[in-house]
Amino acid sequence: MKISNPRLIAKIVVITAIAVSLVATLVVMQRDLANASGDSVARLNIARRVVDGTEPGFSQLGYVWLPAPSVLMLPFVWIDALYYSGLAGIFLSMISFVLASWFIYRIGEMIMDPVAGGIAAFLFMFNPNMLYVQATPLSEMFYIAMILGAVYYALSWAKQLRDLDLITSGIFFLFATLSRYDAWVLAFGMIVMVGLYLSVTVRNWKRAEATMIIFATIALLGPLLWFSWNYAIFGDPFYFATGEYSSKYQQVSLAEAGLLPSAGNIENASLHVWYATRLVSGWSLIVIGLIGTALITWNLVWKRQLRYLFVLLLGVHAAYYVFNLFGGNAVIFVPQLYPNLLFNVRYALMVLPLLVLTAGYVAARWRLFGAALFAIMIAEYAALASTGHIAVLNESVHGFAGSEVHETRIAAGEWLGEHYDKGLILVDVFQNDTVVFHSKVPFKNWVHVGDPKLYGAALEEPEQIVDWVVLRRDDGIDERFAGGVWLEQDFYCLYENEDLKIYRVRPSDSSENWISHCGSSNQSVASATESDAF
Amino acid sequence: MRYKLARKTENYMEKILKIVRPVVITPFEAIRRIFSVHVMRHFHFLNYPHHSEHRGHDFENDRDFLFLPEIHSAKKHIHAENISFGIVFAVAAVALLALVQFVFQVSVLVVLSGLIVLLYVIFLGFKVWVVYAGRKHRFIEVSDRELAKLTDEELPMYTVFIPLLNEAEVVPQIMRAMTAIDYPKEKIEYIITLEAYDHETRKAIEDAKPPKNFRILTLPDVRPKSKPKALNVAFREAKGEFIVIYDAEIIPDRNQLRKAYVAFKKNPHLGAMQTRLDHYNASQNLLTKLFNAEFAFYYDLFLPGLERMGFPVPLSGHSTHFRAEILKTVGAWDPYNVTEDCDVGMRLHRQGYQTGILNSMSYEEATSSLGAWIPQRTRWMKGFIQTSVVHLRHPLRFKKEIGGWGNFAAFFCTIPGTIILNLLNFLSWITQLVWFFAHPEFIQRLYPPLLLYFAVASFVAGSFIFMYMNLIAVYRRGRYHLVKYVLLTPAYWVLLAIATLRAMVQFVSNPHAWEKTKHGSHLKQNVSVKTV
Repeated sequence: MKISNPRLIAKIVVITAIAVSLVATLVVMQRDLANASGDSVARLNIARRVVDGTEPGFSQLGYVWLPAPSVLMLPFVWIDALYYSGLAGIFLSMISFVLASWFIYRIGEMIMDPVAGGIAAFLFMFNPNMLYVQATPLSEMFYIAMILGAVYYALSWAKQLRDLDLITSGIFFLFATLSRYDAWVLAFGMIVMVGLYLSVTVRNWKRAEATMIIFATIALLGPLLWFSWNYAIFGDPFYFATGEYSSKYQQVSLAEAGLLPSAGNIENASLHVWYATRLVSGWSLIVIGLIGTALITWNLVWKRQLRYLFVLLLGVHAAYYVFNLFGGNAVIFVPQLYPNLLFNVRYALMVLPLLVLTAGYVAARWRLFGAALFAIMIAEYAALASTGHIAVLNESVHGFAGSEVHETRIAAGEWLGEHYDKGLILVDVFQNDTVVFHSKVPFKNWVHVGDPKLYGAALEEPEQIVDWVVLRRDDGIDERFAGGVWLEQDFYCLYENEDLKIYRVRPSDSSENWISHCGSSNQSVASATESDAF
Repeated sequence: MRYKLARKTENYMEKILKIVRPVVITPFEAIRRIFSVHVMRHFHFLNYPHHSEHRGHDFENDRDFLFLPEIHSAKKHIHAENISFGIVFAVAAVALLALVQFVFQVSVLVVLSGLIVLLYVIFLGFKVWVVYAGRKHRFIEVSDRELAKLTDEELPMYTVFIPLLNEAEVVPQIMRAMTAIDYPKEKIEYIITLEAYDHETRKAIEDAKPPKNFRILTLPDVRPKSKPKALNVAFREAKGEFIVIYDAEIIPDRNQLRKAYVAFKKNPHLGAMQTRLDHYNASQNLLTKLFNAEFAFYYDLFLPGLERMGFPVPLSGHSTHFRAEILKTVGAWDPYNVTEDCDVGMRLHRQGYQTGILNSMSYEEATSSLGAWIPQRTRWMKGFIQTSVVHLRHPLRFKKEIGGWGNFAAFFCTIPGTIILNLLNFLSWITQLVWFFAHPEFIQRLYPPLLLYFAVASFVAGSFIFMYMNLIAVYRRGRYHLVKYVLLTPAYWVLLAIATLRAMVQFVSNPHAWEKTKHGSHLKQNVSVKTV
């Protein structure tokens, strides 16, 4: 059955994406879940530090996370209401969600027809995990939109060999490579595919080589800029991989705690990726998607429909994560495997676009049966959502780095916000983003590693530089001051919970009376009036 | 009643004015007259026409074959107009800098750094905008059917100028190329200009036994010794309705003259027709590859954009076709300008004549050694400086004639902007590299953090975009084997900067010197002349 009005489907896709995005974001924000994940808060803080701090500037973007999502937040993050609500980053995610839905539709239309595109887009839009992520400041949504844009324009190029389409694909890759490291691998894959495609279709190796260069020059500009940035700011082009707060460094801590079962174990790594994908996609989508992937691969190999190469590129994400887990460079936790926690399952969202496209392909191929398959997949989504099995949301709240784990930090931050009066606050910001965020004390009052001179001076003579010190178990401040022991001569410990202590400098005016509230404190306790005591 | 009231009021006003005028208005008028006569006359750049323009064009001038009024020539670079404009500009700039420093408490050096960054962004933005606008440009096409319909009888007389100097080696090639041109022999005349002392070239031509419609015109022994002087000498002898110049090493499309005629017929509003240029020895070595990439960008992306936007087009020195009558109207070439092509393009535009770009190729030799490239490029940059100095003598008049502030800005970005950009590139490269590797404090003082980030970002983006445009241009020409070499374009920019610095020195020390480009190195290298 030919679709006579693909434009109508396109309009429906866009309008639905906008509506669904708005509703989902409202719901998430109403339940105060937008900033539940520690990573959401960290993302907002990185962008905020560029505009607010003792040494604001682009060097605050750091070296661990790629900068594009943070840079795109800058027009909004300086506004307090948008920063603290998370909207500064959520705007980007919502726009990316609509864009991604549009690209999914267009890719589906190109590989089969508008119906396939529409089905794929709806499967994408109504996935509850995707709906949650698009209502947070996390970077996944932006990355997915960029990668889909790159694939879409690569497909357009494959159809007509217009160099402008290939350049546009390269530009999307530029943004993708500046938002997640996954794109670096995909970029290389795409370069090879471009060369292969031209070599086979046009049979002109010189042209294939030149085309690969045209594409690679833009697509790999992101990694080149990142190497240059790391060299210019930190003196080492590979600092993002070897630095103190790099992923590798974090994985070392986990390995020491016996929490890296996938490292060196390909089977375990594969299972982690499989379970994570199942958690975010649902059984029906993963099964139907795999069938679709097999069909498309068949078309590619036996019918030599080479353009499917560009769609199958999206599947490289799965292999990327398997090898990363195997190499000990990344970590994913799923409830089914030790340590039976939830952590980074949202990485599996990168595989979702391929699954929805291939599932859409299957559903559109056999119309009536396909309608039933579509209904099953949507029904499973509904079931997941209604029974609270939204894996990415659960990860943000109950997971290894979820808000429940951060409760102590949130509490400490809120306490500090209520009692902060003046002066600078010393903190290990990489470990305590949540404290900073929930205190609502402006960044210009925080002394952290982003201002190395001041930070170094404060670590040497804190009583001369800062009025407050936030110390969390095993963070850099804790190590420096031996759990707070070395602070006690000049500071009072005014707050303590399971993880954190907050110190206040002793006033020079001895007429004020202070009481230490930390149980491990050795200082003498002065009597206090009610008005003085915190 | 109302009418009577109005009349009464009018009468009262007249009586009041009669009393007030001698007291207030007359002194004001007197001051204005004093100002315009005694003060403004010192601002020469505001006063025109110049006294040299009263005579108009002098086509009988045998002393130096300068047909133009001197104010429109580079014969003397610094006129009172240049000095007065320079002084006013300098005073205004100093005043502005002082004001900025006083009001905003920003150091002068920081302001200058900011201005440099701003200029760079403007030039980059202009080129990107023009290239983007040019994407929908269509070259003037002449179909085979249109060519087939032409009869020899309707074709007009065509004059081909071939200015030669010490070109004995390439004479056989140019003779082959010229005799291959498909045009009725009785309707085409070839005028080869030669200096009296160039016996070697003369002999080579005679040995080639040229047909009867080839004529050697011996140049009089007058200065300046330049190609545009030679062209002007030949111009007085030309009989053709249309004129084209071919340099010694040029190989034009054999149908080019016919195509140009049809194109002019279809586009009567055009005064000149630029053709597309390419190199036949593009693959000879790295220098020719990079040179070819630059050409591809310029002739396939940038010039079409300029033409589409209606901006003034700097013409090329050969393979540009003119209507002889219009060339006469603008005073032919300036013998003192070392880029006479660029200059005539500006004058054509000032007089309201447009330029089209014909889809016909002319192939030339890319200079293949640094010893030849640097002098050639120095001359081009010096010519751009000359053209800027000449045309900005009366800036407001120029703005009016060139077609408004938009075209003025386009001229500024294309001609003086090329000089400034080449120098800025060089300066930026040095500054960025030094900061990147050493982080010296004096650079951090010149560039406060926000400005530093902006400068680095614009420089990185600008360098990448310029290089990428060259990549696209080469790719679009189908020169796939050259694409990878274009990644070395930054090295080419260093050469451009060196040539520009050299040009600035020469502009002061030896402004009219013509560093002749040596042709024929491709012959020594046995590079086959393959035309696409």
